Amino acid sequence: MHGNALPLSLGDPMEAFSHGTATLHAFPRLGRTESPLDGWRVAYEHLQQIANLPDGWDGEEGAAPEGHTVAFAAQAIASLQAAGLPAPTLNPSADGAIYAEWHMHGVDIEVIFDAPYEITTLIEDARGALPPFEDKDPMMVEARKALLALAGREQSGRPVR
Amino acid sequence: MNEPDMTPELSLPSFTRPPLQEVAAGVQFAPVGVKSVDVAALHTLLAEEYPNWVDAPPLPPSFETFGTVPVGPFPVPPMLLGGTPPWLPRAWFISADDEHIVQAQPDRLIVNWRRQPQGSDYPRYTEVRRRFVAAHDAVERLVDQRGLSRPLANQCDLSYFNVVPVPEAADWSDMDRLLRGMRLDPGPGWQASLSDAQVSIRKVLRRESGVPFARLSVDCLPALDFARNKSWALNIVVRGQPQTGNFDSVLAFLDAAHLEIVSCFAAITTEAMHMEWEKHT
Repeated sequence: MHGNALPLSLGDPMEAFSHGTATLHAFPRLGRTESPLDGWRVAYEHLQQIANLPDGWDGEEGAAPEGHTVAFAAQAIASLQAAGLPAPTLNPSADGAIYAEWHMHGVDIEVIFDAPYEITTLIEDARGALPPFEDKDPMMVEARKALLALAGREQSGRPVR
Repeated sequence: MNEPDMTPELSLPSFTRPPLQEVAAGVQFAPVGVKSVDVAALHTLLAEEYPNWVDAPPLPPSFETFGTVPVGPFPVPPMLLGGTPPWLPRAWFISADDEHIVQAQPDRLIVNWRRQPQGSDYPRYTEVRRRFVAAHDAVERLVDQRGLSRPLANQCDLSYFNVVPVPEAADWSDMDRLLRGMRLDPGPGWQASLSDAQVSIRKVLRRESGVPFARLSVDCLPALDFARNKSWALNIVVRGQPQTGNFDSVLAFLDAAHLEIVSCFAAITTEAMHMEWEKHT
């Protein structure tokens, strides 16, 4: 692995976080009431729950996500964590896709994992600084750009207009 | 690296006595709905070349992904993939001489050659490729018989595992004897005698459009050979996404990966080692 706090296993997400906390202890983010690592811990817990969904999980005909989609999404969001980006909220979809979502600081970002390398990104910015986007984004290039901007807003702590 | 239509052994550096210990060609695909009885049927199709069979734990799915920060494959433990049918073990079908293996599980097919202490010389990539094609053909015949959909590839890998004895009067930390330009020179301020060292090199491979699709990984680390002599393990792997899910794309990926690995191996290793391995082009 590459020195950052990467999750080694979905079975014990906190094990992974223990490797990368020294810098965070040395330079705490002032004014925060929760660590950004809490968000990532919750994200991996949700991913584990999504991985274990059975067919019909929504009480109707909701498809269980395919194992390869879960594995791919896990790796893709691990790369976001390694880049120091904010944690998403993860949700399953009835068609078997996995949604990673960020709704904060006036930005709405949705990254939809339909299958390995089949990714759609949606971006909307209430402030208009980010161009709207809704298209295939197999390498998450657009998603990363928007998330970097979002991370900048989060650090500056400016309120939502 | 593109995925050219090429003759695999054409115009590549070659070695009469390469330090290869194992070569593996693999493909990962969306799981096909096989049952244990189907695995037995697959063995029947392959039993002439691979009469022996043992089971191993299944490999979790993994993918190369690309972004600003490199992240290695992120294996998800199979037991966490609760929405899928129960996972079968990974079947190893093994040749009578113990040198060739076909590994099969519902989402993977891997063909290995491995050196045995008193075994044959490396039979070359063309032979590994031939066996891979034959094993994949057997899988396709089986899924056709069962009325299942054919495997649709989403990831391929080609791995070369070398074991190189550390030269006399050298130690694991003297990697410059094996790898060009890898001399560890801590300088006069720290005269430590280094016991060992490791090197990892990564290179992203891109399509003509510039889109990344695979990653070459080189790892050099301390190891022991069959006789428990100090050696370096030099592992070179190309893993990534084939252009499409069909088998022609899988073979194109493996051929291109072979070209990349052999070129890399010849480029990063020293002239002295090339003489020992009897390099010719």
